[in-house]
Amino acid sequence: MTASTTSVRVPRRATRSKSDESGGERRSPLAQTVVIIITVVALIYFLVPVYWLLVASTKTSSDLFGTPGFEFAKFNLFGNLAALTTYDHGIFWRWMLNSIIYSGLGSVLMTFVSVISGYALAKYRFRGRSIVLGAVLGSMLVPGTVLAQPTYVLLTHLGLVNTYAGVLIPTLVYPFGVMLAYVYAQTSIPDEILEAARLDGAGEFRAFFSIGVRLMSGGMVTILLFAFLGSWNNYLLPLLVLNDIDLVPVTVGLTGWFRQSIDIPALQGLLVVGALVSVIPVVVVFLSLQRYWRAGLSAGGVRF
Amino acid sequence: MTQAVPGQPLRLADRSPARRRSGRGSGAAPWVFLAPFIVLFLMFLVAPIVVAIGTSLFKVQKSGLGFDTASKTVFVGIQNYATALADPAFIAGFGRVLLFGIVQVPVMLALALIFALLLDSARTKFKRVLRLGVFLPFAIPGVVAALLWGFLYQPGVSPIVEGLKSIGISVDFLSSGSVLWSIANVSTWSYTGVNMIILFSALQTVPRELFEAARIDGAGELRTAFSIKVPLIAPALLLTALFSVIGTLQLFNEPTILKNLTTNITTEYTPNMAVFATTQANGNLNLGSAMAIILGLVTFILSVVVSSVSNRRGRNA
Amino acid sequence: MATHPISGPKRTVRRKKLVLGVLAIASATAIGLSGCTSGGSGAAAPDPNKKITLSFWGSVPNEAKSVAIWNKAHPNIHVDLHQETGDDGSKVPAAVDAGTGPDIAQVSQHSLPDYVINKRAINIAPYIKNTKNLYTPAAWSSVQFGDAIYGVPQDSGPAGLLYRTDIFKKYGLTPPATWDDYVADAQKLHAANPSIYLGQFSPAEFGMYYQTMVQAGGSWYGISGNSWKVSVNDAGNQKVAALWQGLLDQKLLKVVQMWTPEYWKDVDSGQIASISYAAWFPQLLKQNAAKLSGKWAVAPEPTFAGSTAGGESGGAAMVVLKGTKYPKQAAEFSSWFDSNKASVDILVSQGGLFPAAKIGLQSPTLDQADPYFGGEKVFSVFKAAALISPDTAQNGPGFDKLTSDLADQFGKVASGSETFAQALDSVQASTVANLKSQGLSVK
Repeated sequence: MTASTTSVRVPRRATRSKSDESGGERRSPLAQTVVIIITVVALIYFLVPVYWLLVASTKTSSDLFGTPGFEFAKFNLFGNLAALTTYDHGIFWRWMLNSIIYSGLGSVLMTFVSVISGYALAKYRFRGRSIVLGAVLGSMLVPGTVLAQPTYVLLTHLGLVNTYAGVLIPTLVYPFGVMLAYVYAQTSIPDEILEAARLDGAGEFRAFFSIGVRLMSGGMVTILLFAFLGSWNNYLLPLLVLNDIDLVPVTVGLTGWFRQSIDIPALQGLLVVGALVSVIPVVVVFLSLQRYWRAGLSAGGVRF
Repeated sequence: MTQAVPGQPLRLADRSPARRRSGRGSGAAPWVFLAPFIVLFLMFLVAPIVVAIGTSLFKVQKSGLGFDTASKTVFVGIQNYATALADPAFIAGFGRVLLFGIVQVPVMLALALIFALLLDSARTKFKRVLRLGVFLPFAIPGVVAALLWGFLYQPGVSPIVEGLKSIGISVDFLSSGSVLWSIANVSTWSYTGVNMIILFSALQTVPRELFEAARIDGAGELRTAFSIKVPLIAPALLLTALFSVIGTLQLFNEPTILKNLTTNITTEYTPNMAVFATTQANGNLNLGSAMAIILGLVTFILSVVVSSVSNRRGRNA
Repeated sequence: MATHPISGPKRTVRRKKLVLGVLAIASATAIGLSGCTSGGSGAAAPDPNKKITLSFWGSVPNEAKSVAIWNKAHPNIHVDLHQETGDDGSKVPAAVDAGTGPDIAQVSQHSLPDYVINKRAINIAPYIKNTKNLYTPAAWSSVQFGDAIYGVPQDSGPAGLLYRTDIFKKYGLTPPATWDDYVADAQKLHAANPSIYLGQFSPAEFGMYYQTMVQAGGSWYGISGNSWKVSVNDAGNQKVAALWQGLLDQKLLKVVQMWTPEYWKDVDSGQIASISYAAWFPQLLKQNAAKLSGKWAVAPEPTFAGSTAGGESGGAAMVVLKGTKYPKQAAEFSSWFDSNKASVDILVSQGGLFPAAKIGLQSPTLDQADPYFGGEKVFSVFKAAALISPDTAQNGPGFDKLTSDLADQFGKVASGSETFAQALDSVQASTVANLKSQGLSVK
């Protein structure tokens, strides 16, 4: 296999997508059928629980477990949504808003920290660089359970318990994002361009903001997406740090309902419809960002 | 020579393109760029680990009834580690997640690879639907995913169990023999999509000419996929394998949720649950920290083993 | 550690278990830093005219209304309620250890010894003299340790037997007066219709075991001089083990995990003909099995031969926490909150508690006829039971670990790989080992 250079890389991708669309030879009907069967079976498997959720969201509480799970019964989706909106003064929407703040703001900041760090690691040679790289890699192996309690104590000392910042700041350490950004900066920013910029008198910061950021934009979208999903699913930290129910994200809120649903059976229905609604922003973000995924993750080069 | 080429990974240490430039022009810039990350890293990763290690070396010593006497924190060295390693339930948890990993990780990655190859193939139909469909579960928080599958596992409530029963097949997803695989199913369902995306993205960076050439030589789509594409994305496969192994060892949310449905999932079913039970239910932070650090070390060792095995295989191939 | 059990509906143990584990470490004590900070409560007498604020973390529904009454009557001692949801209860220990805890919290009586040993609870005996007689004996015994008092009992869980009148009538059964009768009824019912069970075995629901064990005169812990006794396999426990083993061996109990949709489906479909549980349970039954309205009735818990004792699974207590600046006021508020008539009426009628205070037993709510239970005054049975529950059961340290070990072992019993007696021996051994490993003295 030939080692390629960056300069031919970009055009190559272009060729590729062209040939994808032209899609040449015929394929045997058998193969075609097999592929379709695989696709259908996969979709059934991956979507059945979602389908169940969808069906369950439309049911009244008494039908929820009283009627067959995969069949629609009396259609009460709007009734459920109304109940979701009014329960406890609309606390559910407050949770959604919190989640959007944590994930939206959080993922942008996470992406920024990751990109600027990955860029520095990839494009500079300096003493201590390999130590930082090793630490980033190693930290991906640390079980979250090791960190939780000491982190809580630390946040207590910083006075950040029960604040938005207490949830946001610790999540900004995102080694996976740094790793991706590192790989990305290596593959998408030719040194020659940076050198040229420097020769033109651009400072290091301008080089980063005007060239680095621009060339890494595809990778940034990927990091942003992962960061967003990661924050949206974040559960442990907010659970630990927040006391005030008005501040929690939707994951913590919904699991709270799950526990309370023993006392208050009506919550079971709200839990189901709430779970459905809580997935929607993630799907929207995924769909809207995937268009920018032309180049995808070049994580292929990572090796330990 | 500068960038990472799929299939031909370079070693981290000598990968830097900036070598040529070292000491010239950059100065403090990289450290300024890295400063936010390093500060956060030290505060929220290094400091907690140091605290946890410190905690694991101590023990709170009470006496008598424990009511009136003040308890003392005494240094006990590695005693907590010895206690943890002598706990058969804790060790059994490792056995369980290893068994889980040996089966679940290959199955999940094989599925992810097949879907990634399908997405990459020029002629697969419904790509968009397939990509979204397989990925969608990843968008559902792990906790909610486990709840959903819980409804599908419970006899009396699950349309799957009831449906099979009506055609004469009796299944119990929550029996002592099957529950581990029911958990594995939830993990597979949740994480196949994200692995697929990583592998698919790696496939996209594979130089097209390589398999164009093969195709001209008459290799079929299937052969091209397995003899050319897969070896080329071996590093990405390794990456997903590593993340999966790490995730497996830290298995927690799914069994904890499903535990509400069956006593076949015990309190110390997985190592992470044992850490939880020790610190949470029993309030023994010192022992719990030691257990968590053992878990971290095992994770580290396994990661190194996985990557060195694949490295060797990659080289021989 | 704050997990605790059975107490009111708000605080059953299983609920806490749902807590995704992650919380795990969450609530544990502050790693390393916890050590042994001295538990001194800076009890400098504050100026009586100065307005102070007490923070209170509680989980009983609508208790804010009781707090409002207090605040109105005590302008200088303002209580600031934080209504707990979800996992908050298990955050209390971590918060106390980190110095960010409230002045007062609702804590399971079963967890009290761990609170005391870890120096999280303050002895309030100096501030609430002569209040013992305000509470039922079983409830009071759970907060008093020697001369020290570590909480104000709030609610309790006397046991009663809820049964399906329609099923009992159809199969010619009457509510069993003794456990021997219970076994006979179970046999008769199961013989007549093998798909119906008189009762359930829910391995993880230790409260059902606990109440019967207490009734049989057993206790998991004891205090002997300056040592703990652990007695998970004492005579009382063995008595229940033998009873349950017999029922299980004859397949007379429906083995099912409680509180799951599957469970309620079994209840709804009439597979479970009676449920023996605590006074807070009828409310939950009504909510979760609304369709069965009018088909249930309540009877006193069956008794063991030669005894009239009732069962009791425990409740919660108001605990004044380390770090409070105002232990006296906090204790006064706690005492008022749990024994003032107006306050307790609210907790009973709107919070769903079964009160520990005797005055609460006179709450009109407990005298209401309930159409769900065929127009019976369902609580009259529980009120009677509250006064005949033994006060001999002792709580001790490591309670939460004990119950989770018990659930694991009972799971093995359910799958047939172990007997109840073996399960109890195993939990006895693990509990003794746990206490010893903490340096506590165990006899």
